[in-house]
Formats: sequence, C-alpha cells, structure tokens
Amino acid sequence: MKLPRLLLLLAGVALLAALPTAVRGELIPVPELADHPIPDTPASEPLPAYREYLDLAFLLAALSLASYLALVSRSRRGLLILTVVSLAWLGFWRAGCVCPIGAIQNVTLAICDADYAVPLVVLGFFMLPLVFTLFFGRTFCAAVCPLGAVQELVAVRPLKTPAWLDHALGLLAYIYLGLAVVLAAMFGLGRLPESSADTAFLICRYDPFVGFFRLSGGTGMLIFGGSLLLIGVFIGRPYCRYLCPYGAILGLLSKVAKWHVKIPPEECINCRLCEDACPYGAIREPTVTPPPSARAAARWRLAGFLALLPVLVAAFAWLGSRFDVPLARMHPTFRLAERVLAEKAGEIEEWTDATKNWRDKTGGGREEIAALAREAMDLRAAFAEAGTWFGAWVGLVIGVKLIHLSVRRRRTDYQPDRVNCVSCGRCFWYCPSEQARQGWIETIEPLPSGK
Amino acid sequence: MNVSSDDARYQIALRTAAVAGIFSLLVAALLLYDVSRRTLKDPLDDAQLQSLKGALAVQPENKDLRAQIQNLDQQLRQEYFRQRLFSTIGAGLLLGGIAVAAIAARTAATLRRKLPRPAPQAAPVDPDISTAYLGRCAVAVLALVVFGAAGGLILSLQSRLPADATELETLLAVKPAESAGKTRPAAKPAPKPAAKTAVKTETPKKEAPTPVAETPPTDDEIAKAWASFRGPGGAGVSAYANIPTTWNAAKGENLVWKTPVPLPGNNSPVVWGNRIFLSGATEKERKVFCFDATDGKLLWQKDVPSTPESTAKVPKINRDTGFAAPTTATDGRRVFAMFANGDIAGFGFDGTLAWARSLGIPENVYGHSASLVTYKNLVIVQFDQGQAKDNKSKLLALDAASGKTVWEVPREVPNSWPSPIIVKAAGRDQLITAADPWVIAYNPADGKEELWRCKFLKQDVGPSPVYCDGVVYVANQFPAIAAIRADGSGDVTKTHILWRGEDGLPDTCSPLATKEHFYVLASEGTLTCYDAKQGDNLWAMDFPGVNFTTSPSLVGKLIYLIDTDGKARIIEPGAKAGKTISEPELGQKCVTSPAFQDGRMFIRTYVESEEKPGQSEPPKREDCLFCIGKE
Repeated sequence: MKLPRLLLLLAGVALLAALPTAVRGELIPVPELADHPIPDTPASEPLPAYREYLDLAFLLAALSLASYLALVSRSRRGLLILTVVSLAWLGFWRAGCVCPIGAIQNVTLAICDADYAVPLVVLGFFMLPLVFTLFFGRTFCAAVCPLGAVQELVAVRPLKTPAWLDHALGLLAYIYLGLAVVLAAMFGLGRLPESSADTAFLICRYDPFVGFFRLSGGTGMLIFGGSLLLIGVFIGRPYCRYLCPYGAILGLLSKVAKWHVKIPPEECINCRLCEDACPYGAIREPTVTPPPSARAAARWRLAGFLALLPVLVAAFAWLGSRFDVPLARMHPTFRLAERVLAEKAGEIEEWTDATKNWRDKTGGGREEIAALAREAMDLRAAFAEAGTWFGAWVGLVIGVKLIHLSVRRRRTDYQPDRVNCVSCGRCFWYCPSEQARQGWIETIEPLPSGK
Repeated sequence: MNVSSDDARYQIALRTAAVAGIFSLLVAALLLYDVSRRTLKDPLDDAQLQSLKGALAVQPENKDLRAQIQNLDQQLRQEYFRQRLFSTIGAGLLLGGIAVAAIAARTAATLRRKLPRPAPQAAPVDPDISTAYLGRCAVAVLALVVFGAAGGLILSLQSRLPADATELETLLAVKPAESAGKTRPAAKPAPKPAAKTAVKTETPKKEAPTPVAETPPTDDEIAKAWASFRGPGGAGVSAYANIPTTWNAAKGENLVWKTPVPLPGNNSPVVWGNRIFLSGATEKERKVFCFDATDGKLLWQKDVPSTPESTAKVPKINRDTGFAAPTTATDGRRVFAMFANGDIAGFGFDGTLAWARSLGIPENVYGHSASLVTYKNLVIVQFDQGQAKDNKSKLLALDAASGKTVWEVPREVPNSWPSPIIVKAAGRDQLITAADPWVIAYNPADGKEELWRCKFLKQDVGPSPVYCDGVVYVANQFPAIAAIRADGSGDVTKTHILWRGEDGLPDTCSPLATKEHFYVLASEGTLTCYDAKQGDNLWAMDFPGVNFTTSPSLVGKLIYLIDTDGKARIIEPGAKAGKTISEPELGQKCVTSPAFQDGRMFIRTYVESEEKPGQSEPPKREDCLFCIGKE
C-alpha cells in the first residue's frame, strides 16, 4: 500500500497547490495618474443558445450510452472511458455548471415562486437523469456526473467501509437535501429577502469540485474538495455516498427502476466472489429465514419505530425552530448587524471592511443601526421558520431510516443495493459468469446443492 | 489479471506514477512558494511607490515624480502579471502531472488485481441481522450527535441582536417600526426580471441631521470659546476681562438668568458661541444638556445610550465625584460627554446623536473624573484606572465624527483624576497628562510619540496640570509642586524641573499660572502665590472655615475663587500680598469651575436637602446653571 499512499500524499499536496490561482483576487486597481488612456473593460459575450442545447444533447447521449454500457454491453472499460469524457466536457469545459445537483434549488424556486422561470436547459439537466434512473438505475452516477467521475478516477485502492457506518453517514445526504430545498423554498416564497440569494443557493456555494473544474476558487472550497478527493482514494466516492443531495433523490428512484445493473449476466451461482468486490458497499448478500421468535421481535420493533416517527419529527422540528441564529449567521446582513452592534457597544474597537463600508454608505447613525437591526431580526425570524421545517425533515429522515432498518427483506442471491449502487461495473470482473460471457474462462457450473 | 511484480507493464506503470507524482510534488512546492511571495507582497503597497506618491502629494506639479511613479507602477504590475501567468501555467502542469500519476497508478493497480478467496462458511449467516442492528445503533448515535451539536450551537451562538422591538428600542432609544420582529415580505430574487413587491413595513422618519462642518476649529475659535474644562489650554484664564466682580444671585444682582439642570453632576459648563453644554447622571440614566447662553433656555437634553455591560453594575464612586464628573468638551461642531460607567458619546449641536460607545466600567476608587478635551478632529480621553501593575490605564484618541478609536497608548499609572491639557509649547503641540508618578507629554496627533516624561507625582493625583510661558506646572498634596520646562525630550526628571514648592499644596483644585506668578488653592482654604520662574513663595491668603473644590480662575488681573458654599472671593493679587476686593454670593453650593465668555460668567450650582443622621438614602440634589453678567 506504499505507492498508493505516496500518490495520495502527492495528490493532496498537488490539489492544495491549486491555491495560487484561488488566493489572488481578480481586481487590480487602475493606475492613479491617468496620463495614458485607460482602456474600457470589455464585457464577456453571453454564451450562444446553441451551446446550452449542445450540452443538453451531450447529457442525453451520455446517459443513453452509460445505460447501454452498464446494462447491455456490461463494459467496465467503456464506462471508464465515458467517465473521462464526461469529466472533460461537463466538468472542465462547462466548468461544472449547470449541473443537476444545483438544479434542485432552481426547480424548488420555480415551484415556490410563480414569477421565477427556470430555464429549459436547467430543467432538462434536472429531469433527464431522473427519468433515466427510473428506467435504468443510477447510470447518471456511473459515468456522466462530473463530480462522480472525478471521484471514480481517484478511487485507486478503495477500501470497504462497514455497512452500519454507511447507513448512518448516508443520512447526511438527505439532511443536506432538506436544508437546500428548505432554504430555496423560503427564498422562493419570499420569506428571505433578495439579498439571501447566495445563502439560499447552498448546493452551489458548497460544491466541492467546481474550484478544480474552473482552476480557481476560494481557499476553503479548494481545501474541502481536495480533502474529499484525498479521502476518495481510499474511501470510494465519499461525496456521492454521504453528501450528494441529488444522489439521495436518485437512490429513491433507483429503488423502483424498471431495469437495473445485475452482478452476473444471467443467474447468480452464489460463488461469493463478489462479496467484497464493491468499494461502495452496494452488494447485498443472500438472507437466511429467521426463526419465528425473531420475527415476532422484529414486528414489535417495527411498530415501536413507527410510533416513534412523529415524536422524532416533532422533537427535531422544535430544535430546528431554535436554530435561527446559526442559520441566520450564514447571511451577510445578519453578520453585519451583529458586528455593527458589537462595535457600537464598544466591545470591538476595530472596524471590518464591511462595517466601514456600511458606515460610509449609510452614515452609521442610530436610525441606520436600528434599521439594520430590524432587518437582521426579520431574517432571524425567517430562518426560525426555515429551521422548523428543516428540523421536521431531519426527524422524518431519521425515523424513516430506523423503520427501513427494521423491515425484513428476503434475498436468495447476491444483488446490488438498488439505492446505493452507482452502476459503475466494478463488480463485473469478479463474477465468473461474466468472465465466461467475456470468454476469459471456458465455462462455469453451480456448486452441488448444500455446498 | 494478476501479473507478477516483475512484470514489465506493471513496472512501467509504477514508475510512471512515481515520476509523475514527484513531478506534481515539485510543481506544487514551486507554486506554493510563489504564492507565498505574492500574497505577502501586494505590488501596490510597494514602499518605494508609496514614498513617491507621498512626495507627489507635496509637489503635485513635479513631472519627474509623476514619470517615476508611472514607470514603477508599470514595472510592479508587469511583475504581478508575470507571477500570475506562472501560477496559471503551473496549475496546468500540476493538473497534467496528477492526471498522469492517477492513470499510471490505476493501471498498476489493475494489473495486480486478483480475485478474492472467501473463507468457507460453516453455516449460512444472515448478514442483515447484524447490519440492521448496528445500523440502527449508528443512526441513533447520529441522531443524538446532530441533536446535541445543534443544541450546543444554539446555546453557544448567542446573538447580540435584541429579542424584539421593545429591546431594540431600549438598546437604541429609537421608536420601533411596525415590522420590527416580524417577517417582512421580501423583494423577488434575481436573476429574473420580476417586479419587486412593495415593502410593507414603515420605518420611522429619519431626522435630517444638521450638517456638521468637518474642518477642525481654528486656534482663534478655540481661544474665544470655553470648549473644555478650565477653558483654552485648561489654564483657567478668561479671554474676557469684562466680567462683573460683584453679584448677589439671591437678590438677582448681576444675575442675567438661572435655569435648572435636570440631572445632578459635578462637571463644569463648556461654552461655544451661544451654546452651553452640561451633562448629568444618576445610577440609571445619563444625559447631555444644551442651553441657550442668551436666556438659559434648555434647548435639548439627550440620553446617552448604554450597553448591557456598562449598566451591569453601578460604578463605584465617591459622592463628591458623582456619576457625571468629567466636564464635556466641544470642538464647535459636536459636544462630547463621558460618565462614570465608561459611556461616552458625541452629539451634534442640534442634539443629534453622532455616536456612542462604552469604554467599559473603569476601576476607579473615587469614580472617573478626568474631563475630555479635543484636538483637531480627535477627542482625547485620559482613562486611568486600577493599579499601575494592572496595565489597564490608557490614553485614547477617538474620532470626533465617528467615535472610532484613532489611537490608543497604554500608561503605566494607576487610577488618577486630573484632566489632560493641550498646549503649544516649544514649537509643537503637546498633550500633557499627570498621574502617579509620571507627568507625560504626548504628540496629540498620534499619541505614540511621547515627547517627554517627568517622574514627580505620588499617590492620589487630583489637580490638573497647567502651562504658561514654556513651563508646565503640576501640583499635588504628594509630594509637592513642580515647574517643568516643556522643551525636553525623553525622561527629563533630572534635567528639566525648574523648581519645587511645598507650601499650600492642593488635593483637588487645579493651579493657575501667569508669566510672573503661580497660584495654588488648597481645599481647606489657602491661596498661595509663587514666583513663576524662581519658585519663591511670595504670599498666602487663608480663608478659614471654608472649603474649595472650584479651581481658581484668572479674569483680567483678578483671581476668582468660589467656595463650596457658593461664596466667591475676587482677589487682586500683588507682588507681596493678595487683596480681596469683593465677596459676591451665588446663594447655592458650588463644586464646579466657571466658564467665561464676553461679559458673562456661567457657573453650575446646586441645592441639596439636609442630610439627616441615619438616613439611608442620599440627600436630594437639584442643580442649577447661573449666568452672571451685567444686563
């Protein structure tokens, strides 16, 4: 494991070294002595409309190809090549935007605000992967999503994580989804002022890899993305499995997909060779029928968790309603108001650039401070409402997960977990049926029964 | 496939990964080094460029200088963009290196991939039982962690915003708007061209503030006004000699007007134009008052905002000091007031609050009493507190327009009660302070430049310093009087003390100095006159049975003394003795110092209910402002 660790270290340092282009600002003051003519700053031309539709067409083509490669031709190599192409096009060339993950907020905003028209391209980016998932499973994640693509490529020696850890950490993606939707909905419903646009579009603000796609970004953003890639060398696709809000939606849809990637091309022979094949913990083993006593206990347990569900929703909703200040502190106006009041009280003597600019702009008198404080108090009230809904969602997610873990499922062979399987095809190579289909081995026979 | 470690393809992949990785590492290191150099050196902060710009500001028509600045500016910008290009190319090389390393590493891993060999199972095991159980436990732990973390954040992140409109009103002393505390409907979000919804809230009408001239007052303006404690330079010398020498306030003789002051205070009046300013305070409130000098009408009275911290406890004060001992100061544009709990504020002449802040409740055994003084666009605060070893004492200069600290210097002194003075001495502006043990002169522009210091005073220091004709005079019960030449530099303790006097030492009243004579007034009623240059004790006058806290004032050639019972003594000083030429009565008690304008003397007095033995509450006090002058 020495070489991968060295590469891990090198990759980490290299990624951190992407900081240079991130740290320096783009704005250079114009020279003060204007003896020479100062050229006009040219404005960037908007992208022609056909470029956006070309990207949509690429998305459609890539989804179709990924579904074909995963379900029909079962080609891991093909999926890898498509991964690289998708990363290049949707990641580096299109600079990671628009992407279906961020489109969650645009769609939420459109649902909540009748005056907001979501562009067709954005709607297409949001809907197409959902439609394909309903039919073919998470083939979008397999080789099309640029965030998944970059993680897939750095997963050199992924290790298998305990299933219980995956269950717990997997909830974070749903929680993140809830927070993003609630904030976007509050913004769309007018509960948050116009100045909250940046706060409301949480997913875009905290996209870990867009800094790499654009070769520039905030230091914190690059460190976050770099850390995820570093972790991704050993823990496969950490963002996809534990944080991606769009993946949470895709997982639910994939559960009911018409078709889905299978490990063996035909019937599973229970050879157990694929047990540890999936670095993402998405292979489920055959179950054993439990004794009657265990079944009774399981039913009581399920009933208990069903009764607990409304309690969890209420408890977290109450907690969320008290979470107004931490949420409001994401908003620059709220932070400004707190800082101004602290400076006014003499607790802090130094002004920040923000408070100085505010004072220069408004005069900083008592009336102005009062107006700023009122605006911040209104924001706090809005975030209290958002927190209540968000808290209820978190309670719901936790309760549903506990119920889900109490429901017995019956499996007779090795199957991919439809929610978590990203259809990457890594398991194909391990399956002797697949190896026989590929002609790498001559034939296989099932083991005698009982063995 | 599972090739051996000697396989050529495997070795090539492995080595390629290693080389690419090392290459990436080197490029990353170079980029980090480059960015560290660049972030530490903003090209437009170049010292040489700033120096040239400063020179150009003095010689704006100097074409050579302009050319030098332009050339240097261009060179700096070229270097900056060269560095940015280096970073851009480096980032591309780094990306390429990482890509090659990743591809090579994956290839090597794939070549060495081998099938697993699962161990035989004695009996089939249901994987879901243990997974589900552990999963539920993990989810429960996560729920507790989320709940606990959220709860911890809620408890730790306390907002300083008020909870509701009423608290906001209390905090800022403003009328609440209708929407305060409620959710307001917001304007529609960008990026679409939707019309904004009307904001339904009403905000209180904003008072148009009186425009304030931002140029500092001229020396002439300052000389004509009485802008701080004891007037120009803190000398106690009236610019006007036409002040009556007789009056009887009870009978109305030479009393132009008198007017009540709403709150008690031991600060003296300050005057600018036809505006007189006072402050007053109790345990619970602090106010600034503005009177019309013509008829004594109270033009406005304004609350000084406080903070929960400055009102958390009542500052420790002596009854003789009170909660509003520091005299206000004005620069002709605004008036500034400070109180015993460390609250300090600036108001426009129309009463508009310009700023307010709290410096923190000072640790002062008798109560903070150092008066404010202004210098150009600064408000100087001598904030001595605690013991010297506590290192809490400091001298601050606040921006007159905003209250923001412009500069602040620590002082190695304990709590003290003199006020600072600003004088022009030895060809420079000097801000002179007195405390135990140091008399220190600062450059009032930045405070950091300490002009000179002299180690002389001891224990509780009450009287303020005075300056006259190149000499700074300090006087205190401990140890004595000192006349210090003001043209020194550094520690002048051994070189610049002209003389030392030990008779008639004051503990409260600040001294008076002329070119020829120096006067001190002891609280128990002795006025002592020294030769200003030699320090000889020339004469003394005793006033038995009376006490003085009002500092002596010089009006023309006469000295005005006012005892605590409100009886004045107008003294004509001579070479060998002083002569009392009149003893006018104010009819009320007086512990403050008068302010003098053209033909007018303004003095704050008070009446106090009789204190009865065993009475727990302090006697009630009603303050008054008198205007003495010929009608």
